[in-house]
Amino acid sequence: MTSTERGGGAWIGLLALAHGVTAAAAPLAQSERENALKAEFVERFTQFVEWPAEALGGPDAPFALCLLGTHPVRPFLEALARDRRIKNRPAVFRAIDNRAAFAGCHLVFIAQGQSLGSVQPAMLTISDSAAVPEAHIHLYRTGNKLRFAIAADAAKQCGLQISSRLMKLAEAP
Amino acid sequence: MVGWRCAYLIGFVTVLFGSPARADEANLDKRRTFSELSLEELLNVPVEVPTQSPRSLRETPGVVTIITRDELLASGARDLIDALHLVPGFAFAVDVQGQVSVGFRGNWGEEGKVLVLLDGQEINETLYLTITFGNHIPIDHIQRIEIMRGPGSVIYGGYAELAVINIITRTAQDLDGASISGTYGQMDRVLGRRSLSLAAGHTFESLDGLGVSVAGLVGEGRRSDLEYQDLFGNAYTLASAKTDPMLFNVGTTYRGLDLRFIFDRYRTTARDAFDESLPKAVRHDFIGYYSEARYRLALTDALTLTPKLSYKRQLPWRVTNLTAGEPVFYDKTSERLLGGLTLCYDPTDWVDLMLGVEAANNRAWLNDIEHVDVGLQRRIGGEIEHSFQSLAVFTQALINHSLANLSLGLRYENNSRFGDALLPRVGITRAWERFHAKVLFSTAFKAPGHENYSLNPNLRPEMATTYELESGYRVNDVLYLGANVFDITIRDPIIFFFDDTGGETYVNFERTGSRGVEGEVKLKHKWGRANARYSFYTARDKNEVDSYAVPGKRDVVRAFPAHTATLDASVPIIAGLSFNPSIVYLSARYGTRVGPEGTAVVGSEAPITLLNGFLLYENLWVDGLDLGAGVHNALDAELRYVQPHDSDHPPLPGPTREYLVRLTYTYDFN
Repeated sequence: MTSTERGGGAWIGLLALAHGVTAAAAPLAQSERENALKAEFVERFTQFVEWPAEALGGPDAPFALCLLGTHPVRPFLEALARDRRIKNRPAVFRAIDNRAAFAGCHLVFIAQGQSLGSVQPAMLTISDSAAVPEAHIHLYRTGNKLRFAIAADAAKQCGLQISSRLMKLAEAP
Repeated sequence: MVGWRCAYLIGFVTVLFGSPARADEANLDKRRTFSELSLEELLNVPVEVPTQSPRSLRETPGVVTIITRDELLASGARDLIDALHLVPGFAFAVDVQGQVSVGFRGNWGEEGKVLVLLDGQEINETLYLTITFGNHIPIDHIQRIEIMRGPGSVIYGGYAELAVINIITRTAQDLDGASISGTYGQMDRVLGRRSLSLAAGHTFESLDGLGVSVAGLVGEGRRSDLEYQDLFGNAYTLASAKTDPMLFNVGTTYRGLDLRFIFDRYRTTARDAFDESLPKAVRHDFIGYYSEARYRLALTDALTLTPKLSYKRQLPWRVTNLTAGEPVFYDKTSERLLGGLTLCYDPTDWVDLMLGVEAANNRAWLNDIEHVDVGLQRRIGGEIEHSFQSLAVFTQALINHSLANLSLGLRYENNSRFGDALLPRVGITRAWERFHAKVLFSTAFKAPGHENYSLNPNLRPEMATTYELESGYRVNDVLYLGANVFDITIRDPIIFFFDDTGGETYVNFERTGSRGVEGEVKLKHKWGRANARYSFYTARDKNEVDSYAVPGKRDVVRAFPAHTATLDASVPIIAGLSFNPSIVYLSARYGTRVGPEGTAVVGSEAPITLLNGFLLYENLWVDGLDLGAGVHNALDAELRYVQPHDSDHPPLPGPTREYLVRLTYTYDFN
């Protein structure tokens, strides 16, 4: 084997090793990408919404991030709650399958086909389905980008304050 | 959309990371993870991306390094020297009068070869074309640094012969609040540095999006706490060698109008002069006033016209002490008034065109005419006032094709004293799913500055040619491998040296340059990030400048290590707390040393390893309160800056082990 062949083989081997070592973080498939983006939007929204202080509890009380129904955004919301802080406090994720389990949720992502049933105080609702009219923030896709619309009055009625900066970025579909 | 490529052609890669309204969608995707993007930037991220995106750093026609604000602050970088030590190719050396400046790929960059931009303003001074480093530009103001490791002359002109360092401070949108930051560094025997920095910015939506940002810094520092000895036996501690920055920076944006004003006063005290030291340390001021107005007018969806007007006035190397400082007495001003017009045309997704013209009037004069011929206060070209004009026309085309992307650039430059030059640039890039390659060819032209001409009216302009090849492999979403090779030839290089008969002078030599290789491994995982970099140059068969040469060693030139290796990492410990170590290795460097009986001999500085560690705690106790603490040069290695030309200046000591604390409070208006 020539030195060139040995060098080339070593280089290929090194790349293979590197690939194997780091294979756990393969690039996202397209549908995963969209849901990863949606989860990021959810996290950013919390930066521009104010909850009543009594709703959030003490500084170490966790922020409850909930998912109502089945939705592929779930693993990304779970990761969000696991790896980051929301409203400068730890976050917890809860999957809920009925309205009775809402208690304590600060933010609820509502999957298609689900419904809150009634207005819940101090609870921000987000959905990517037009069939969930009670969502305060509606995430939708236009072309190849994500946009969002805000039902500000409904959010205000729940005791939530939405920043004017967020309102400026919102677009009606 | 008149977007990223046009703005790249105007202002480097600023658009890739600037206003979200100009941010390129695929570049946002590729350069950072989603978690690092603002809400405005997320709105520009495409939900679906094609296999080959034509818009990424992998296809940018240049070898580019980006340093983000997060990386700067986490590393605990004290100044640009710390930041650039981690970028392949850069090294630092001493010039004269205690000033430290930059070399790149084994080439001395002090005299107009490495362009430094601060918010688009060229801060290289236009008398000697120099740029000074060491506790100068405030790290806390910086949003990011974009570095083109290679020539940028086609767009930027003569100072960008080797590289372009584009420092971008926080805009009104980046700040949207106010921040105050205090830094304190202590070497073993003397203060390292201390500074106070303030910044505020806001976008007034009620005033149609008017954005205003203001930032200021005042500080003081010390070059070293070690002793320096010149060839004449004068030995003294550098504890009195100060590096005191003061900077004020205001930016305003309103629709397409950008206004900028910067005041920069970098004050050093130095006792080392040229060969023999002064009787005591003398104050040197480097003062600059920079202003610019620029307006981006979208004529159509595809056509943008950007006129600009800029004015800068500089008082560099200013020594007004007529007693202790008489040998280096210097009090002159240079100014440049520049008008420019750039037209960008993006008719389709696969071609972008740009045409620009710039005209400048460069003037310099003696402020103090009572002391003409005292020290360095010579007439400029025999005159109290000296001027020349320059005109440049440049064009660039970016063509995207399935086979490859082609970048073609051409600059015509005319200098009223030194004639004209035509500078072509060609770049071919191609990116596949994981692999990319670039082939780059550039030329550069540097006319002598006022003082270069004054010291030798027979100087010829420099011409440089650079070839680069780059390739990179993205193993997956967390691991990237990259490497590039380069070949630089500088013809008629304008070389400074101080001889012991006539003083300072400049001469043209036949040729200098270097060739070499740079490589990097970048790893980013949820447990942290790490980067390893290596650079190598050789001057064999390139350098013909005697003043740069090392006797018996044709592969290296004075001052610059042939091998540089760095390793830096950032490891989150708990939420908000990260540990950020870095290691910088410099191989042996050669230059003038004090020999037997005070003779000048060429000796070596032993290889040196700088070990640094910095802890950063963000949002400590309250939102917006960040505390950082660490140590630079933990092994207390004796870093000395070697002089890259044969001008009888022994190595100048740099900072020893320094303990650093930085406290920042940021108040968010939202």
